[in-house]
Amino acid sequence: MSRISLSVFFLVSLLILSCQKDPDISIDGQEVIEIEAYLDSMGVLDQAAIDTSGIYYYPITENPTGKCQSSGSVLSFFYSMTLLDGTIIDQYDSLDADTLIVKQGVNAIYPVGFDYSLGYLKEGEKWAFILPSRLAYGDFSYSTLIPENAIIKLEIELLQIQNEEDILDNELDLIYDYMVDNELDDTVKNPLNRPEILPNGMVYKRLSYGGSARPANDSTITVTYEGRFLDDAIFDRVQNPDYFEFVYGQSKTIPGFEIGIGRMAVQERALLIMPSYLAYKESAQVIPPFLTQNMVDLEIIPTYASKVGPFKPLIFEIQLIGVN
Amino acid sequence: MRKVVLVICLIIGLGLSGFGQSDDIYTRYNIHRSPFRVFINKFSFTLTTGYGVTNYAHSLEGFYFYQDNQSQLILGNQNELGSIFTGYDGWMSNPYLAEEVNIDDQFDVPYDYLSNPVNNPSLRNRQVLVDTDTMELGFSGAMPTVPIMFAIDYDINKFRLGVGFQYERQYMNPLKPTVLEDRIRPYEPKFDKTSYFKYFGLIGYQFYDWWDYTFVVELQLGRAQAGKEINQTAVGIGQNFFTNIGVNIEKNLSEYFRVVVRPSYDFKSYVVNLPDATSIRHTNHGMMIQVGISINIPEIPRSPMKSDHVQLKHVIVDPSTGRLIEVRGQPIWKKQNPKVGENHRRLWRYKLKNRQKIDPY
Repeated sequence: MSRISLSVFFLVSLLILSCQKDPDISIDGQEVIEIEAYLDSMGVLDQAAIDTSGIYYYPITENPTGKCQSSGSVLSFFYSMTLLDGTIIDQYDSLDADTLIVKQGVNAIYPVGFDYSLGYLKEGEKWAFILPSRLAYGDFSYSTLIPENAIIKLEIELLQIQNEEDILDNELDLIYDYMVDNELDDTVKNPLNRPEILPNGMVYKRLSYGGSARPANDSTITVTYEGRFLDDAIFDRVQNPDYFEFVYGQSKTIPGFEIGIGRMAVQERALLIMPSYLAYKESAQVIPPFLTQNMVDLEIIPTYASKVGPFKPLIFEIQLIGVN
Repeated sequence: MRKVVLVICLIIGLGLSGFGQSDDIYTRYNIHRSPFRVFINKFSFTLTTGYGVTNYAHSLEGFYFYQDNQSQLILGNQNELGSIFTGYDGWMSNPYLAEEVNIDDQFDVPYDYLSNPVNNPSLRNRQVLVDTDTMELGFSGAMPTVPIMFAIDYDINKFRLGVGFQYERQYMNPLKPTVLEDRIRPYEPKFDKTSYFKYFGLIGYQFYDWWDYTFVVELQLGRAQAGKEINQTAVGIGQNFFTNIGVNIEKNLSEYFRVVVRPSYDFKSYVVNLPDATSIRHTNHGMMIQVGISINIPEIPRSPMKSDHVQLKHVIVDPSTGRLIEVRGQPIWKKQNPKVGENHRRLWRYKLKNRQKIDPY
């Protein structure tokens, strides 16, 4: 009897084991071999460590006394991204004009392996990371540059750690500079009213008078608008005969847009300048940036991230067409 | 309905005319046969069932097609689109005006910021809006179908004329889009299953005989009435016509009894009118294979005498009336005038392991 029970147990166990399929295991196993062979060939296998997510990393430049990150840190960095065979996918270094800034640890960076990697760095450090494909681009491929299931090597140099208050202060300075540079105070050159700086940091400037009707909660608002950055580059526009329609007071739009429209009357034109915390905050950053539209199409990041990058103050020139 | 009555009258007329031509031998020797049996013998009764596939397909030409996670809607593309889409659902069976949806991309400027944006599940609620003027979009799907058919037909030489009806049970599956399969999900009909009642007249021609087999090409024309799942008030008038063409392969076990295999193809369609006066034509052609039996009621009865073991058709004196009557010695599914050895079933002792043995015991 016990022999029969044992046989049944064995067969059931075999059945259960045979039903468990995990296609990632085979890919991961193969990738671990490839990564360790690569590290060995580079002579850094002894220095390299692996974290629980499967990222291999080793220091290039260490800075033990550097500033540490805290929750919600905003980071500026340079990076280079290559395949294990040395093919360069993208580089963003001191030769470029600006650094990239991102907010780490809030799912606002793609690929996720890049987000995890940034979390290891102190200010002034440069580390190398090797991402298995599932933490990089998975089965996504891009031209011949990124093959499917590619293992990615990153070298990231963390330049600066800021907090969001620093960023806001900086943005308010930039907004002030914009107002001065464009002489928004001058009502002759730039009619109609002088700009009004709201307590939340937004700037509201009426460009033409409207009627008496004003938006009320749950009313349907119809507007045309043009969205610009502080360098006057247009990132989005809806102009006559098209229009944008939304229900006011239900937080359907970014806060700055709704706050500004709340101060307007029908047929009025106005200029709104808002810091990023009233717009798209950290947005979403794709590395390398030229893949941003692909990631929008793949429904990995929101569409607005392809128009507005992280921590961008925005200008909206709005005409309020109707309130129903 | 009038056509069906006309066909029935025609068949009865032909039957009666056949009845009028009595064979000489019966008058010469005054052999009695029941006039009703002789009349009804002219007709074949066929009952079949089987399995089929009904292919529901429609094109959305002339419409906008909208899809999000919750709904799939259509709207005639003569309408002007704003940011609100007011479309119809249930366009296969019972169209109704669905709730308004906002067709703007809710993650575009100036809509609100999304926290934890990368791989956020709410991004999967992307909307698809297709104008079929720029892309030929339609849906199609194969539905398992179980038919049951009963038909009566009259044979005139090699031609057959008849009437019948067929009940079909159709089990609905989602219909796949013809384009953009990666973005547009299959359309789920608003009913799990439906039925069809078909009433038809048939005409056939017996085009080939081979040993005990007869091959008949058969055309059925008639009315296909959909079940209550398809709202008949939404279906256009005169949309119930159907045509079926098939081949009856008949194994003649006796002159009264046949086994029938009938592969056939069904042509039918219907139009659903939407409340805004636009309409969509749905084709639901079907391919079926049916198996059944076909019988003719014998014109003479079995011998009433238990002691009568004559195997062939023969004449006896009816013990109850004293008249000469012709009787059968075989059940209807066996050859009526067998040669020696025919109609004898193969015994079990000659089957299975003994089938190769000359003398098993």
